[in-house]
Amino acid sequence: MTLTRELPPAAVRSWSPSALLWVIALTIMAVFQLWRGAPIDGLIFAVVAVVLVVERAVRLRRAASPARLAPRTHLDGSRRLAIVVAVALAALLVIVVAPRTGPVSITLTAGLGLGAVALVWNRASDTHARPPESRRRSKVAWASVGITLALWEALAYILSVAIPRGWIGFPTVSLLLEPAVEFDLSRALLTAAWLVGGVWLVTAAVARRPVTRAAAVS
Amino acid sequence: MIDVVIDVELTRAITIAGYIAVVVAAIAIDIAARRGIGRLEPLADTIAAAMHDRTVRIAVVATWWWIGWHFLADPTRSYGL
Repeated sequence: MTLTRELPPAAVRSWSPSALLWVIALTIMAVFQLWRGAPIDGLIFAVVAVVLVVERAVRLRRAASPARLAPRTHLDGSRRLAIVVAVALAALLVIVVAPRTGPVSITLTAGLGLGAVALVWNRASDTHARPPESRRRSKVAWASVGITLALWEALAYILSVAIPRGWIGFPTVSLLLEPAVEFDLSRALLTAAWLVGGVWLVTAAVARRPVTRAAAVS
Repeated sequence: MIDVVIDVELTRAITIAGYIAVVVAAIAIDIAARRGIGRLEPLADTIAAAMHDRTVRIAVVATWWWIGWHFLADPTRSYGL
């Protein structure tokens, strides 16, 4: 563990379209989960959305204040990766062995979420450089894919509960994946894929400096 | 509950085809981006770039986490919560 000094959490000047859309998406998810009768999930999305709004509002207010240096400890990249991978492997073992949706799975999964958020809360290489046009286009393209999938899934769910035998005629992704999640081997593979995604998010993705494809080629 | 008669096998096929179409589109966009077609960036590069903003960073991680929570923990299933 190294002791470093760095700027306090990055100041923001305003609400970016991406940040605003994410908060709106989380709020819609909260309402949808509450409507479908999953109050815990609804509460989770609502809490995340509120925390993000409050946190950004605080940073917007601080942006007007002079920056100050604050001591902070953090792990270097390789040690961070080693610890995160070790935790992910241990979590995989427990999740596969423990009964699905039981107290152990619930506690462990909740702990993984809190740990992941703590790991990505601060990031050393915050930048506010103007993104290239290709990045803006990419954000629009990938957001369109994600929104299309979400709308299709939401439509399927609504029809599945509104029409007799709708759960057969309009299966959600959850329903389609249910047999795979119930079977131990495929649940282990799906859990491993989920954990790999998480490890990538809290280590590589969060540490990567934005580069454009054109810049990388030249 | 809407009282209609539908061919559930047909609607099931259409619903699943919709999911597959989105996944195929995502793969096609990613491959095109990696080959420099359409001035787009791959999904991983786009996510990594978006994570310079803490609000987006936490939202992305929370969304990733909820997928695992939904399938592995899901207190709604066990306890009706």
